[in-house]
Amino acid sequence: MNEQLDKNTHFGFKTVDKGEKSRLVADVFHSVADKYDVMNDLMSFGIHRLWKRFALGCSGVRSGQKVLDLAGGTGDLSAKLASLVGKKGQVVLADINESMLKVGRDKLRDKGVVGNIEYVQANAEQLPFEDNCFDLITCGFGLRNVTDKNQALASIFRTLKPGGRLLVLEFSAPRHQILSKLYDFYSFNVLPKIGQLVANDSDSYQYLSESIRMHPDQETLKQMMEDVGYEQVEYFNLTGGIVALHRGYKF
Amino acid sequence: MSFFLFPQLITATIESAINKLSKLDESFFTRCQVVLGKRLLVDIQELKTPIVLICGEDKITVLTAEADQLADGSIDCSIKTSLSVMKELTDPNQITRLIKDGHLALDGDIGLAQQVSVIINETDIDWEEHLAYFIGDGLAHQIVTRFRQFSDLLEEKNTDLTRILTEFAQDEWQVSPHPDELQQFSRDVSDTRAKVDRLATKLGQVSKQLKYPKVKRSQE
Repeated sequence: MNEQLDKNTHFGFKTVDKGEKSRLVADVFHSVADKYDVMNDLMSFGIHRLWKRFALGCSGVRSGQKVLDLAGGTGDLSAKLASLVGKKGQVVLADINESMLKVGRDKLRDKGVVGNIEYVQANAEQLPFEDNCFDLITCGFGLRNVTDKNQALASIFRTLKPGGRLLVLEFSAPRHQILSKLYDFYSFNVLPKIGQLVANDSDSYQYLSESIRMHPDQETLKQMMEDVGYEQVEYFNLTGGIVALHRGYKF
Repeated sequence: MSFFLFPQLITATIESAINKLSKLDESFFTRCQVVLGKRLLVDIQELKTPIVLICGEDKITVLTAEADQLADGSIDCSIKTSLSVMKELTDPNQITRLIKDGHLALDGDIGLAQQVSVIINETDIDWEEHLAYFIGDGLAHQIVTRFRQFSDLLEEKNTDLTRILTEFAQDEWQVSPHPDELQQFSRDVSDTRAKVDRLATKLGQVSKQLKYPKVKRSQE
């Protein structure tokens, strides 16, 4: 909300110029793209797959629909969505980062997911799609990295069909003190070390942990969505609130 | 609050298992074309969470069922049953009987349930061939043959046991009537009924005579 007035924004715990942020985020993802999936499994002990399944279960996706997987990166959600929408449906895997998009495209082609999937390099804040064209838009662990989240939410809203829904799966605020402390310890002491060992890059994983803390919490994000015009907005806390799924409709 | 995400773990496991098994039968997804894109909700008592099965081009997706799916008609067919009944579902002719007996509750497109039953029934996994890949032809053949023999033996023993128990119940313990005895009893009941009806008619005639006796006019 204040993001628009201020020339600066946050990059993890650092304050940077708004223009800088997207370049810095791009660097992070160029760096992690290759080992992204492996690191996801390691860091979350495989639980990220269950978070994504939960999101799919709440998606209401059906045969023949047109779906946008925004910040889709390495295509975990897209792969499943492609199977669910079938030959007559379509999935657009959009990501602002070329390296992530490339990894996603290669992975899905290797899996044999072809025919109903399109790859687009796009900025969530200015989506290059028509108004009212998607039945469902998913954003898995991507909104956190967007510089102007309100603008992204608005852009998404524009491209949603009436009756369509947005699913934001993202790290959020743990609900309980003890869990919060354990999570902090794990995030700042363990993750960067794993990052260093496996991907030879502890800075990116430091950014990961810091950016999670800078991301709006459950209620704040809900309010942001409502302010943009989403209706029946609700969120589901997963793994004690470490991750939350927000869902809103356009009517 | 979904902390451990057990329902998702269950669906992930089931999905993985189904897809691995289906890959062992080459014709599986060709046969699945009839149910492409259809959504089948399966509510198994023991699983505690209903699951939705959706057939894709080359994989089956298993998802958790969200509340509004049940109401908004995005489910084509829903099956409610328990684990013990699952095996019998592979015979499409059994479905009507199972519903009558209350072991199975079906909602929506019954045709879909039957198509799924047929698909499972017709799934022919050549276990011998797949096993041979790991342990060689000879040993694989022996193992599979022995397994089939054992399976047949169990089936035979099961039939025998049922027969023996029935005979015992009828002849020794006499808690259950023999079908012939039942027939005889039924005939006896019919005879008695016929006799009662005749008696009732006769009584009716007699009481009419008593009410309205034929008056003998004495000629004087």
